[in-house]
Amino acid sequence: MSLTLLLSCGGYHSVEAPLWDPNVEVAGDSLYVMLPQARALMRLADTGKTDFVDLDGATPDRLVPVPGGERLLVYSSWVTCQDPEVELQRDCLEDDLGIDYELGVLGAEGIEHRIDAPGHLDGLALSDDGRFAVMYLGGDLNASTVDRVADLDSVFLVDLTSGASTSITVGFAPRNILFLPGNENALVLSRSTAVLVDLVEGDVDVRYELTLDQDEGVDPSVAVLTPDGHYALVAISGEDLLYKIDLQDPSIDIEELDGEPTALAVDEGCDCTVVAYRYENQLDLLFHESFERETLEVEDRTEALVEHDGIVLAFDRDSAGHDVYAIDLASGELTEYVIANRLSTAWIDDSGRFGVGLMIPESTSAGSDAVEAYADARYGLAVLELSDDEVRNLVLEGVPTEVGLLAGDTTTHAMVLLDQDDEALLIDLSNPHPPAVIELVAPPARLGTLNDGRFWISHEAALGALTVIDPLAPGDQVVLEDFGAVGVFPDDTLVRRNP
Amino acid sequence: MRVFVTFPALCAFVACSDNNLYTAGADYAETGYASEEGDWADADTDADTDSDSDTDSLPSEEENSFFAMAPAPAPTYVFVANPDRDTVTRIGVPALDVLTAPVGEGPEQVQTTPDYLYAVTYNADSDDLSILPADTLDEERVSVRKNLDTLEMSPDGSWAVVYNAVGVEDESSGGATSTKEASFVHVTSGAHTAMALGFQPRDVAFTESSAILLGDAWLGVVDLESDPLSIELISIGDEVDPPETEELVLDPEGRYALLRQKSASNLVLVDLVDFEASNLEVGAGPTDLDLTPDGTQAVAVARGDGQLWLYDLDDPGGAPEIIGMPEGEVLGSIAFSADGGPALLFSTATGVSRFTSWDPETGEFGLHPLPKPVSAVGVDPTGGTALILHDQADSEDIDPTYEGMYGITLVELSSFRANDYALPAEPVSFTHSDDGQRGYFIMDGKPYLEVLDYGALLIDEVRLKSDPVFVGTLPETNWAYVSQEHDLGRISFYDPDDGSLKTITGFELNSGIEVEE
Repeated sequence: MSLTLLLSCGGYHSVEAPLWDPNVEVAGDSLYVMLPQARALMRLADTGKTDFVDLDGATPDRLVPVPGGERLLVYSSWVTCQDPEVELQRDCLEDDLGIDYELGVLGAEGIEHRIDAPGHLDGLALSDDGRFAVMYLGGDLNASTVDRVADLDSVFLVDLTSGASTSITVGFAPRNILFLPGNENALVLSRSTAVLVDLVEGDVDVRYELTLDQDEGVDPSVAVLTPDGHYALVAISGEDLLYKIDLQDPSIDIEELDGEPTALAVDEGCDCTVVAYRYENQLDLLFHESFERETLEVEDRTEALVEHDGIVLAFDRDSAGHDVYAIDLASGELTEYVIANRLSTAWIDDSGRFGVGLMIPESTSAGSDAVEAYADARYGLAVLELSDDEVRNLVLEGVPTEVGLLAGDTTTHAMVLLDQDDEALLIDLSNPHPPAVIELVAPPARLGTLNDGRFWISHEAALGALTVIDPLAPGDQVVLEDFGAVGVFPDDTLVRRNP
Repeated sequence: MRVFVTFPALCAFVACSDNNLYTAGADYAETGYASEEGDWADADTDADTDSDSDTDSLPSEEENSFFAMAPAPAPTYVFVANPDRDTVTRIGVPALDVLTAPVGEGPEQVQTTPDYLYAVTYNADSDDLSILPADTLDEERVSVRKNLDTLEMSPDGSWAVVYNAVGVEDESSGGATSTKEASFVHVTSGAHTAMALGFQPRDVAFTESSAILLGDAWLGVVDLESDPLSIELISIGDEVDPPETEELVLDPEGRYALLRQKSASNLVLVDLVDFEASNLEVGAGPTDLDLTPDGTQAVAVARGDGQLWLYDLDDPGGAPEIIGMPEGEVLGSIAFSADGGPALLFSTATGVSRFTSWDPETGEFGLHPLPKPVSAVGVDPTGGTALILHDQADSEDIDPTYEGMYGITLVELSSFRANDYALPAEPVSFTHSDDGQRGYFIMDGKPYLEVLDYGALLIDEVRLKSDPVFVGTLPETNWAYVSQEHDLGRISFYDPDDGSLKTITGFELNSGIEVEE
């Protein structure tokens, strides 16, 4: 979420920021809600109990869940005034106003660490054990967040356990961060450079130049690590090749491919990487032991991959092809699913039983029958039963804005939010039609899951509204309302602290 | 230019007689100086064509360098110099692990010592040598004289000799420049001795205790066991206008050197003990000079007289044995087999599509047809199979299949059963495995490794990822390696036992890897 704080220098208060932000996040058993107008972060239980997180006067700008489900990162900021005599924001000359930023590590007991992090680093990568964060410039540069100088060649490392942080130079426009097994090292890819970083020491171990001529920069596009962390496989934008970077005995080899790779999916079980291509009607399995490729011919090209626990879904977002392929990496078996419309995105549920794809409208081809024309004109949901190779095409009478999956022991449910619709669709993927229609208190905004296996839905409601739904008992909803109607007239006193 | 030394058993490839002989000529091809090597071959002109030995009007016998051996990489490594990055890359086999080390500026040549414990680079731009232990690549750098161009290692690996060879184009780094000096570097101690030679050498060869620097007017003998190093000069020709020295043969004991000079009507015998030179009678138009496989005789081919002149190396000044070659055949070159079996006599100048066999034991000659004229001949290391190359030049009696084509013919020497192949492009580099079972060659602009099975007389192709540049073998293994065109460096390793090809691409990027201490 971009920073929307508006400064008021007049002698009156006004509601200039939204009361609440529907980009809710979950940590532990609580929901956390940002209140921009109140410049506060609220913790909200499904019982309706609320309290505030002490941000020491800062305003929460963005929440990011930390792997493990128990902590959040809180991007926050506050207004400063260069004149030390000024106490109220409205008394500060405009030229003296500024903004400071920090990153807070929020646990069950509140903010555990406050880190003086550069405000413009909007990109974030987190190790899967939740110990380390790597902040970088993600490309959505908002000049107002830059404090005089933006360093385009560095990343900012944060030890989320100790709160220690450091900035290190890695290369121009770093953006692809891969954490090695053990999470004590990370490979940071930037233009023409790859850098192996020691996250514990906070310094660079190895620097790899990806070109001999820096005037001819190469841009890493997609990258994965082999499961043992021995190699990084890095595709280069516009090139039919894959850099194989040896992270243990630093060296580089280049594998030539049959086309430009657009997606890579790595699997520990087969110890292989699936390679998808922009223009080739094939998928390759690249086995890490020998780095030999096995090619799987496919009828439609497949430039996108989704992987979960030994199953890979391959599909194409750009062409008119209606094929989705599932690869069982344990057996190497390729299954073709023919769906109604092309996909824009896809997921595999945590149980591995189902694949779900969001189908988007497409122009109707000549000779299409009425059913095809009906489907072509609408969004839809494709439900792939990965165990018995069946596909169900569900046409949606509305524009889906959010899709969430929750897998239980025996069932998997999809929740679908439709734009400006007071109803949500709850779909039992093993029996997808008809879906359960959930009446909502207001049009939905965002969708997420709680750690206890329930969905939450935030709504477009000025004073705040959240619904918590158990997919196994959708009638027993918890609705939390009007929690945003606090702190409408916030204190204008400047925050005077030096983090 | 050919130089023979004391390993006659290794002289399997007569047409590239500097195979395995630790000579500068071999190194030209090894380090990518193919054109210079070609110039050397071109310089090996037929004495008969000169007015002072006007016995026939045929062109020169071409000493084709095609069969030049690859540099001797270590059994488990190949070292590649990166002149643009001032580094050397060591590629391990079969793991393809890569280690890169900085060296001096412009490492244009890299060689390994025969024990494979060191790699040595000559860094032309910084005028120094980098001596690198093969296991660590921890560099010791030794400055040498400026503006040298050619690196040679002594057979025992103790010495590296750097000099300015005749015919090698190089750029002066400025300042006073001499072509008549050399640097001698002791590899293990790093001790450097600079020496004014008094002449510009064409090549260097080694005996057990000395380096023989070969010029046109002078032969320089450097005693490598003296301290300090010293040189003895031996006059071998007119100092004002000497003929080009084209071939050198050393006897196995290191007592004599025999020289063949361009357009000369005699050979030159050099006594390396007394440092004296004398003329040695030979038949008209000597066009080739070789050692017999057992190293006991030197053989000159006198094309003008149609004779072979055999000199006993125990007494080279004594009366030679003269053998007449078959009448009607014009033969200018000889290729011996390593096992002492039949030798091949042929001409690269006459354009006839046949060769002549000669059995040294029985003295019998035989005439054998070929699909087209000969451009080069070699014999596999076991002596069982001859390889005969054909270039695009055609003769009247050519097999139409080969018209305008390159070709190669494999000949089983025990029966003279032959198998010939038309080739789509010019073979540019050749090598054979240590066990002599297979040969390998590559062709200009064709992305294939050609694998020769000497026993079966068959050739198979292995597809490469890009056009090859050089082919070699790893000593003490059956592996072949092929460097290939690629901006970032590419080399493939072929294991004939299982037919697998492993390729590493982009290894030059490794020179840009910085490992923080």
